[in-house]
Amino acid sequence: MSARLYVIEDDFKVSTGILRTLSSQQEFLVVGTASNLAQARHDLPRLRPDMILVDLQLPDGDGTALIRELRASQTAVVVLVFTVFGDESPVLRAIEAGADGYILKGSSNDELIAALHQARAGESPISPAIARHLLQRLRRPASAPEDHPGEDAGGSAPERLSQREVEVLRLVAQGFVADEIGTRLGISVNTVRTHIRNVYGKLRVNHQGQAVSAAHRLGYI
Amino acid sequence: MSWRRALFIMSLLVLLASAARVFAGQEGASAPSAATAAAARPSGAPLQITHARFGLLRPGEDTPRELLAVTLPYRWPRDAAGDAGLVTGVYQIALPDGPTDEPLWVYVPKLRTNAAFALNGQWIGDGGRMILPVARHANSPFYLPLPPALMQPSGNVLSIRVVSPEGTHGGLSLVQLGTRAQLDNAVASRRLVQNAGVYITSAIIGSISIYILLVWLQIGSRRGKGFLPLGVAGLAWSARNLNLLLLDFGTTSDALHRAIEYATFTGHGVFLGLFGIFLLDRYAEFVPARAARVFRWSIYGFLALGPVLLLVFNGPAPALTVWMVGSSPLLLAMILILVHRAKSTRAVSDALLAVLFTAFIAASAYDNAVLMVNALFGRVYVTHYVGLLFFATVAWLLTQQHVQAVRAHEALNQSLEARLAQREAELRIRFEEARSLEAERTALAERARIMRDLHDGVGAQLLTAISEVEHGATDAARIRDTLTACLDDLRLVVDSLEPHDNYLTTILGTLRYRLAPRLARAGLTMQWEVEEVNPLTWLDPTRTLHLLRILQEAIANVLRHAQATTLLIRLNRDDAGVLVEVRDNGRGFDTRIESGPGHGLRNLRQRAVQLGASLQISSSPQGTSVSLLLPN
Repeated sequence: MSARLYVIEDDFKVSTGILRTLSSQQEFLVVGTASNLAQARHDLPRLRPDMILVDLQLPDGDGTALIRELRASQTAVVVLVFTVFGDESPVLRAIEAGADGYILKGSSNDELIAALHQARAGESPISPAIARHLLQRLRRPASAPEDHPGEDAGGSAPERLSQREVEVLRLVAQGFVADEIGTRLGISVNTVRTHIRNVYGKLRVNHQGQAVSAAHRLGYI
Repeated sequence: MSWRRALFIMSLLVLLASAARVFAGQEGASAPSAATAAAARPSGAPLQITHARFGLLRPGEDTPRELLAVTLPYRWPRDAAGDAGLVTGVYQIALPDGPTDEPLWVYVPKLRTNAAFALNGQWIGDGGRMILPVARHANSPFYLPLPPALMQPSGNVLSIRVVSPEGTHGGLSLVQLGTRAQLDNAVASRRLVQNAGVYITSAIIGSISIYILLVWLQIGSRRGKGFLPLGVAGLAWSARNLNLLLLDFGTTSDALHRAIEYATFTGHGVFLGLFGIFLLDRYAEFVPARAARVFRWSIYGFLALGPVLLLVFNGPAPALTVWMVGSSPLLLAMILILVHRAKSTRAVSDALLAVLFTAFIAASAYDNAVLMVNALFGRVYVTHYVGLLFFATVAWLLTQQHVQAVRAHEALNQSLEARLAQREAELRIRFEEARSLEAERTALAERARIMRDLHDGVGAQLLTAISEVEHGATDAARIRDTLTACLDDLRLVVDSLEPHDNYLTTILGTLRYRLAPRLARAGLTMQWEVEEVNPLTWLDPTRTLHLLRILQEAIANVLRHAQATTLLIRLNRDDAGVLVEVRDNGRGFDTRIESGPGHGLRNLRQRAVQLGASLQISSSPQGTSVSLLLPN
């Protein structure tokens, strides 16, 4: 069964290029396109796509806002950010808001299809710069015990990275790719990818936790 | 604040009214109502005795040789000769005849200096020590009964034997005769005014003075201007009053006696002199500097003159007269200062002070007259009462001014603090401005740099592409390559701006991440041999961009020309620096020629120089190595 894909992109040439690329693909079916957020908000509840490819800079706002709305509505949809550079700050913001990954504009057809496949399989692409950033953001304190996972299970303490996740992230940040990391750490490539996916999950949880506590603090809830 | 002033003025009025009442009573008591001792007594009023027979004792004799008729009050001359320094005068008063239902009492408001009383030759009482040093009763009323047992049906004679040291003005005031019912009230009020009043005023002024001196000790002369002279003046005033209070100086030593006497007699003048200094200290701005200096030295002279005069004249009374008369210009000057100040400030308190000081001088003059003029002898001294009012007012004003000064000081402190805080805030704002200006300048420089980078990289490549198209190049692959290089460089610019926290590994990793699809397409196997290098402090965006361009250029050369199968990227660090190497297993090239792969070499070298790195390129048929030694 093919995955239903919805594309939000204000550059008509880019979106038609994607349509052309995917028209020959059995696995992906583009069920709709939008050139702005309003249209996307209107279409999405009706079309119920499996995957969304969203540009961050749209005429009527930031795609990050839409991602946040989708996550708040608990919609089970894979959201990919469509970006020219993979320029990390906006992408990271989008990931914190709930994006599952990103795809570079200007990728070749093969690269685009490969990235979509990865995303559908639950893999999150991660660049060295993002990995470095995550290390700085989520690094567990050096003094904390490593093998007492139950200790901070309760409460709203931010989720911390496991020792292995830190090792994986550190190698990504140094420019190593998944299979090199697997070799170095003596684990499978899939395990490496799982670790990376978990890191994304923790980042998102922490981000939402921060949002909730900020809302508490400000008296919204 | 005004209720306090009202309270103060009211209490002043009450005091003045009480004083007036006392003097009114005195006038009434001293109004002569009988011309002779034989005159009939009006019922209810005591008999005023205004006539007596008087004689001075000669040395060695016990009764006067002759008695002369005198009118009371009568004082003998100051230069009367005595016996071994003591003059004795005998007053004989013929009492009126007639039966009395009640015992009669005799009341003498004032005499000098001590006396013994006898009725019909029989002793009936005295004031204590009748030889030198005589008990000092200069201010004591005498009140004693005439024992009925000694009274004869007629021709009773009261003999009052008065003693006083040579050089003093011994004498006897009016005498009153009557029953206790007639006299008690008059005696009681006279004792209150003449004796208790002196005690009370002296105690109050002494206490205030000690308090002022204690305050002065705490705050010092600079802030407590005038506190010292005023405090000492008050003590001098209390010393002056000892003369009226002490019946016995507690010593038989003549010299010591004299010294205490001097102290008491000079007290008044010292008080005035110190008050003058107080005025100069407090109100300096109302006196021209030159006049103030003259005035101050005059006061010092005046103060020094008093004791000298007392010694020269060998007795207080004439010395005091000379002294007081000599002091009148100073007193006048002091009154002028006070009046001038009152006119300048138009404050009720200053006007009050001027009036009270004038009243004080008038009271002093009156008391001096009481001391000097026979007809007035026996009257109550008034200066202590006016002095108390005056002194208390001065102390009150002084305290008020001091408290105001302290408050003003506090207010000044507060405003100073506020101004300081304001200045700090201003400084902070200015600092923020400077900082934001600096940030703006940095941002401007950064923007200029990015523009330059875009211009040199993307701009130049786009121009190349345009020029190629214009010259008829239609090779799509070639144009695509140029444009790809253009996008690559744009990505490098963006990457160089991303925060990497100065991690060289991450910067290299990003480059690999970007180029990975292209390398894969070219069939190049990547050997990634980087080791973690701690953040390099010099790795700012500009240098990052230079580094990225060098590496990208090196990799692009491999992709374009080397026909290699593996690409090795190595990063390690030692004491010499950080070494980055790009090595391939391609066919190599001649590094001396500047065409083909050598074409980019010049570019690489230029960038390496700008980076502060040394670039080494070696090539052989087995491959090419570009290594870059970066500073630590």
